Amino acid sequence: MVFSSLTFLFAYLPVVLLVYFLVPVALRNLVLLIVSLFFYGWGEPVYVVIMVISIIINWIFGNFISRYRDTDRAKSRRYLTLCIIFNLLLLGFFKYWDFLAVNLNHLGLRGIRPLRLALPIGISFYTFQTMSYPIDLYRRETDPQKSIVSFGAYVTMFPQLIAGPIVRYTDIAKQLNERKITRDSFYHGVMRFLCGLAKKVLLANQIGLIHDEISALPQGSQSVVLAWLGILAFAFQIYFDFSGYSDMAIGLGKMLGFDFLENFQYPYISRSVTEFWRRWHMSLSFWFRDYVYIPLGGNRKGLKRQIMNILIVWMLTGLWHGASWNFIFWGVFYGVILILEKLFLLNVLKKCPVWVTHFYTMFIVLIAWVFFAFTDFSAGLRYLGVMFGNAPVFNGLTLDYLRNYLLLFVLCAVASTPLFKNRLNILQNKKLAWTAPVLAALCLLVCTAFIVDASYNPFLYFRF
Amino acid sequence: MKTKRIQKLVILIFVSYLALLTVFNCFWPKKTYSENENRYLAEFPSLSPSNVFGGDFDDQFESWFSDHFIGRDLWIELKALSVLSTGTTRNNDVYLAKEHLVRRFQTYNKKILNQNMTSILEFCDSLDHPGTILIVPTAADMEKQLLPAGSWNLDQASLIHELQAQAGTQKFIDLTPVMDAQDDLYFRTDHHWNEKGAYLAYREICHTVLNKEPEQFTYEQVSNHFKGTLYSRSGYFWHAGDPVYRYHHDPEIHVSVQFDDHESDSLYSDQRLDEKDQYMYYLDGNHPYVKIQTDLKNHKKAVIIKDSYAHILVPYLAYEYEQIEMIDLRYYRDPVSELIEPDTDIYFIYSLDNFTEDPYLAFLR
Repeated sequence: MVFSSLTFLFAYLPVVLLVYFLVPVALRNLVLLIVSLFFYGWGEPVYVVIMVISIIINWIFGNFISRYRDTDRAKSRRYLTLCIIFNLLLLGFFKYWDFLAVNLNHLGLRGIRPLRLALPIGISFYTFQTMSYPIDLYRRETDPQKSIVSFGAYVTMFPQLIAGPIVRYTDIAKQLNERKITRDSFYHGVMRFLCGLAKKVLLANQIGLIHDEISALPQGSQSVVLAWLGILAFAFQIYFDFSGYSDMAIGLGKMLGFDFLENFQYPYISRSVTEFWRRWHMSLSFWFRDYVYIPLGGNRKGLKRQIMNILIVWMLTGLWHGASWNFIFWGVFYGVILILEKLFLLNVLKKCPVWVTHFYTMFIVLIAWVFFAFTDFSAGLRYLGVMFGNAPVFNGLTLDYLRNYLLLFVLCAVASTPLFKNRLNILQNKKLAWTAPVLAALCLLVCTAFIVDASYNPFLYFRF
Repeated sequence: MKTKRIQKLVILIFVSYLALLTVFNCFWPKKTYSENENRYLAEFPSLSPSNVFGGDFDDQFESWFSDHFIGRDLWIELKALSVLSTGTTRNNDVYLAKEHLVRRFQTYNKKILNQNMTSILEFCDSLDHPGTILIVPTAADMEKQLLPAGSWNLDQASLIHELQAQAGTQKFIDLTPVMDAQDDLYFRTDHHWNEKGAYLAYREICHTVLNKEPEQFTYEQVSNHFKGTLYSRSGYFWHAGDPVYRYHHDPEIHVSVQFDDHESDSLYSDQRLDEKDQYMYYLDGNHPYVKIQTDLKNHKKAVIIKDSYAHILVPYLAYEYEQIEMIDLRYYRDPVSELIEPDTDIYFIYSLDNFTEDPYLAFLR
């Protein structure tokens, strides 16, 4: 079940909110655990078992790790190692087995076979999330959760279960045991949720259609400008889809009394790729920084080692996004750019005019999205070819697209900047405060219309 | 103080919106069929364990839930309005042109187009029997003057010229010059051409195939509220419907029409006017095989391999032939060649957009 579905909005969420606020505070974690398991089981009625097993094992290992962490460091570490191995095997088996098998088969090793298992929804998110618990316990950064119900509620919490943000246990440990919901926080939760809903339904889904159309155009209809528009549409789609989802998660969290950390910070206004990655999917970058990069030695063991570490982290980042070579390539591509920036590019950029740095960053990011968007590597290369001149620069179709979607592109561009949050924020203007309820109502109506429309499927005997 | 009131109001709006729609939706009467979509709506998914654990129960439920969502058509209309308000000139591929709905036609499948052309040419060659190819352009090119400024659609005229060049010894009727010169040749809410457009084709056939002047007809309006496929597809539910006409000729002919499943003594099906798709008034819509026998006694016979564009044209042609057989290759699998006699006129009548996508011409033999 996704948040932008009718089932979620007009069946699941109302019931959950009703029950959550009716039961005594002491039972809320239990309610949260149950409704979250239902949420997950709705889409994954079988794999929900794996999630339950993962909760139990991590919780038990957590107890052992914390029991020995002050008395017997080595023993505690052994438990931690076992726990990490368990989590990685879980993720590795479901996500990477087939990839490994196919590639080994290519190399002539016929022993292992692809299993063609469906990937459990959100497994990349929740295994990373659960892994933070034993590691932070071992590092003495948090205390063990006594209640397996509360720990289960943390892992399964439906707002961030299937697409993040990746919430570290330490960040919400306190709120798990005690949290307050006020009118103010609920209000902000509602506004944030609606903002995310609008981003997903009105921007991401709509501009995504444009990307789909353009990348499916036959050779003769392509143009250079169209190809750039197409990949720009993809950039907007993935940003508003993902950050919209994070907004909805953060908003729902607030309604339930939790404060999740921000996941996006207007990445497309960055002035270097380094900055871009500080603003894009921040919870993932932090995770890799704290649990991979720094333990590997980070920048403390010399430049050579640092470059090595960056490459490792970015290969893993790519691999995390999907078990396919294009994602690994995409990750390594970013790794190389980040190394170059570290070595000298950042210094050069500092001396450049602002617009050059923005242009440079978006250029790199858009090129990288091509590798990301096309799982078929050669299709990606063909598309790049069109972007760089293997087609007429402009044609009638391009004009048609500009004519029809220019406003949508402009809207997306403006919404990618903090303009509405800062300078144009009508909600913070006392005189215009009345717009908040109007905007909320409008957003609900229009989003509902778009969601219903997505299922509108005229069987049109069309051609005949 | 004021902030507090506003926050309360927003929360009230959010909570009551979800709650009210949830509750009303539960009691909203469920329909089984959607006229606009011309399809049966989803049924409630089976609750058997094999289905619930089968992997797509959530999707089945969402389909059912949204198919029966309260006020469904109003939401569709609101979405269409919102899209237009952002400066877009089309919704679900349908332009809102002056008074007309026009389906966009910007790209086509070259491979299928070539295959279809080859199928026709090989068929005629194998019979050593010339045919007449009539590829009808769509409104996206012929009525492009109606489209919003900046719109671009395929140059169908050039594409049809290319096809004409491939046709070799077969007769090829290019309607683009005559159709381009006139307006109102298509239904305003449907993708088909109307009786005027079809008459132009009839006239061209008279000139190039039958070597005569076309007959004159008068028109009787039998409906004024035909809301066609583009109406449904676009969600522009505020748009007015189209008139539908029956043709009259002096003297009238008598026909007997044999469909695959019934017989009739008319080229028109009055009961189809009570349905949503009133285009089926003409020759009762899609049938694999239709045989029309007239009292003309001129021994002229025609076999028409066609899509639905032919349905509105054939009532004119009925005044020229003693017998017409219409073949829809989507459903007809027998050899068409067995229907052809030495003096039979063979026609291939397709709309261009369909001709570039229809895979069924491969069954022509």
